[in-house]
Amino acid sequence: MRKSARIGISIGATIAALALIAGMAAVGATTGGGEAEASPSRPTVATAFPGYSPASGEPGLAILNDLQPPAGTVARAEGPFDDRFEWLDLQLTPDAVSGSVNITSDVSELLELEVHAGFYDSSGELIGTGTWVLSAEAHEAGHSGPHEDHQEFEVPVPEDIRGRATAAAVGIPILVNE
Amino acid sequence: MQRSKRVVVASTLSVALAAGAFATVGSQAAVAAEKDDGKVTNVIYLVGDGMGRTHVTAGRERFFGAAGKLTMETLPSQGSVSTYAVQRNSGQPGADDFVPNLVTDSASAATAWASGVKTYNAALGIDAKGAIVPTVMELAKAAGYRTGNVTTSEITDATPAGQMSHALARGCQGPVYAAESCQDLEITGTALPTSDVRVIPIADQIARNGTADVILGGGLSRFDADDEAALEAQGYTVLGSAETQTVATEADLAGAQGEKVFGLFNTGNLTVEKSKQDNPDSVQAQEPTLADMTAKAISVLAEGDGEGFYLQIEGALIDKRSHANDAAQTLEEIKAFDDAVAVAKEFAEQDGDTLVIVTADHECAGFNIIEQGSFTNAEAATPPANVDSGNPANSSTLSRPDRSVLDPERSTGILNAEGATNANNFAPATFRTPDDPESVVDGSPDAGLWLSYLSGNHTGADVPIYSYGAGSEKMQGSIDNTDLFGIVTEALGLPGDAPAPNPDKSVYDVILDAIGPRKAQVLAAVREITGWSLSDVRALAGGGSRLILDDADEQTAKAAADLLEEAGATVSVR
Repeated sequence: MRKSARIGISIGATIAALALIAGMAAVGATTGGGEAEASPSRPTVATAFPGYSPASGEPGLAILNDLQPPAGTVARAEGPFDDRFEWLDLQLTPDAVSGSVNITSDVSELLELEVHAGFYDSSGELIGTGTWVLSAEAHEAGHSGPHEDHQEFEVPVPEDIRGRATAAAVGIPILVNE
Repeated sequence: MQRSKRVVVASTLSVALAAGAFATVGSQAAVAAEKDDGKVTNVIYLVGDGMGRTHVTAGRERFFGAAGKLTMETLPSQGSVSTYAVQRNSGQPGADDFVPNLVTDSASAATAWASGVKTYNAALGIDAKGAIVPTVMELAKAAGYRTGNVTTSEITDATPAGQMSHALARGCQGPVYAAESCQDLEITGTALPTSDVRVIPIADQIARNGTADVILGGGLSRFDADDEAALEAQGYTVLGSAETQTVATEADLAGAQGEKVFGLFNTGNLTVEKSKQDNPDSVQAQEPTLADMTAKAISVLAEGDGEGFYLQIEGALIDKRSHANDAAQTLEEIKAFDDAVAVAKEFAEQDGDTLVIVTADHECAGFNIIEQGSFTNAEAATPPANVDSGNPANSSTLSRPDRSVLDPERSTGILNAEGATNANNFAPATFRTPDDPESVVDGSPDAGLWLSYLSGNHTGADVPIYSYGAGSEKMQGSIDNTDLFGIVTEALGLPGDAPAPNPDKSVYDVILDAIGPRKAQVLAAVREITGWSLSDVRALAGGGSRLILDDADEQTAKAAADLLEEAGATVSVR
């Protein structure tokens, strides 16, 4: 037996599968009448993880804080995927750090790529950061095909530190191939 | 209900890892079980990623000759599987808002067989509107089955992840969250809180949800020290170390003990077999084969306590090397996958209560066997002629009076011979078969097997399916990939069917997908909506998707959803 519930009125809705999601193949499927049963000790779909701290913001490359690249240079910051690509043509101008990335580990479609950059003053202090993002969602529609394995990037120097950034460092915390 | 089961004493199983074969089962203290009609104790589900019909034929001819068979081809039930996906926010087939996408990716294909729903490319464990759907592996685990997930790709990649995670986007793999790679505003409207499982990095989910008891593959880079600690806290034997980024070894695999094993043998995808063969002294050559991992997984799962086991095995590199149009590597990956099939088949034959299913998620790259000495369109200056000078009625538009001719700039010799140095060469690669004279070598024009690719992308072709064991007759003929969910759940006696499309748009179900941070407010809202008792409402705090309203009219469903969302919950209305 199924009942519909009305907002604000305490009608006991029939939730036959409420606590027995473990017995349900389909979220949303109902199996008929009956009172709610006690939750099984193991829900079928784990949507919460005790002790887990969800992300509080966008990813950073913590190591950028530890680098002190010499003026005029672009250092390479360690990341989890350093064995999957190579940097090419890295250069720093007053306006941006740029270069290109060659994905060497895989040739299936490049789905996600983020280049994180740190900018440093003449004393080697980290004074600003920026990010360049290539995402699968940014695919152009049409017949252009998947992302290239060779990607050129440019991370602008933040406005508030223009003229003070004398060195940069780049790293990749996000890289996914199809 | 406790099902009786056949117990195979796995202690007598020996795994010859070096040979990559499932060795002797030995004498078994088998307890004959009362077998339900069509039901089995175990299911081994093997996926050749990207493996189309021609991949199988080419593998057969390469390794066993024209009249030979791969192991998978010896399985008695054979058929084909349609693989199409749907667009974002599409309904299911039959619904008014059904919008198909004829070429799937691995993510939506995995969701189709794992959860029985069509979804959009990149989605894992959710339908096309973003609602979480349980997977076969989760259902099996909850019902008391042992579970395993084995792959030659990163373990966070779509095919393995489709059984043990839920994500808006397959690119949300870890080790860190990023909005660009984890959120999908076209589905959710606004960004989900980072506590919502659908945007939690897949590696973090795998390390904490305990869905798979045995986890073997690659992708150690996606995991970190916290993940390793989470796995160990759940009782996993962790091979290698995520904290130190030390990959596991073949020796680690052979010596692994315990009921739950986590082992990743490469920081990325496992090394292709041909590379291991060509570089036998390399570190990578010590990685276990798919057959090795399959044998170990079966051994661990069969020994443990449970109703039986559900094991998914993926030969992932067939797809990845097909994307690369590397026929030599593709062939070796097909063989390696078939060797894993042989391991599964041997176990099933000895066990007598196991369903083995071998299929693919999609075809990759339009693999083709072409006539010896011929050339493909990709090598030609123009397409084939389309004029019948004797009978113009046979011609259609576009009229092309000239036969195609070879373009010397696009065809510079057999690809794995004189044409190997030209990156713009579209010529086929040739391979000897056992039917060729001994003197014929790969790359020779005399080699019998000429292989070419259509593109570097997936295709929409149906894929083959082979199966053995009780219930395998359901996979003869043509089926859809979503049908596999029902076939497997029925085989294992798991409750429930795949979500059916709701043709009656006048009633809606409201599902609480996640409570979010303001638990008290959400639980109060649920009480207000439903009138449930305090104890019933408190049970929601245990997590997991919960049905709040069923068959509500549209206004009631919307009001309930609004109330819950205002309280901070994540809600689906279907």
